[in-house]
Amino acid sequence: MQVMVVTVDVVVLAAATAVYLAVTMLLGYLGYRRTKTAEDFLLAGRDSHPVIIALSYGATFISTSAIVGFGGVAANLGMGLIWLTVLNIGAGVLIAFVVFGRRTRMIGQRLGAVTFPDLMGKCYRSPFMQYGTGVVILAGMPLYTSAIRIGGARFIEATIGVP
Amino acid sequence: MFGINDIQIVLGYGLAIGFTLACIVYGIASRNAGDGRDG
Repeated sequence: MQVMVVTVDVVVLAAATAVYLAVTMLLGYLGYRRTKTAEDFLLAGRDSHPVIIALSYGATFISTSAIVGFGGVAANLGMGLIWLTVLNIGAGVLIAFVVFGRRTRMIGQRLGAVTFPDLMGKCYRSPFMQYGTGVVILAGMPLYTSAIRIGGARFIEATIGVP
Repeated sequence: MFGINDIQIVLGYGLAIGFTLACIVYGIASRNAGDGRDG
């Protein structure tokens, strides 16, 4: 099997990374200037523009698992993987927001909840629910992010040839 | 269609794009729904 190796100009990559970091730091500073309360910090004052939320959701969900992982699975199994997208957008986003969106916002605002464990704890008046969901996130997040990091490292390895 | 021979794949693309548009329309129509400010 013939393997095509694509190399990336390291100077261009470094320049793009520097611009990205500069913009990130500038946005961080602007956010810092406008942040007064914990709700401002954690939820952007509950007043984020929908486009910002959409971009944030996309950046969160479309990680290396989607780009590298799904690409690899599609290469192995075929384009039938498009049905994952259909169910993800149809059931995972549309139906979830139609059924739960309004209620979740209403309850979260009424209870002043700022995180998912906070919402669970206040909604059910149960410290067990709050700490339990927190522990699930605490245990699951490193497993998920480590897979993402491995995917990112593989991507860099294949792209710029760093072993 | 579009170089894709399998009708199931074309259907998948159609549904994915359709659901995406539905998400956008629903989001615009119900922006800030459940917010105390709009009742």
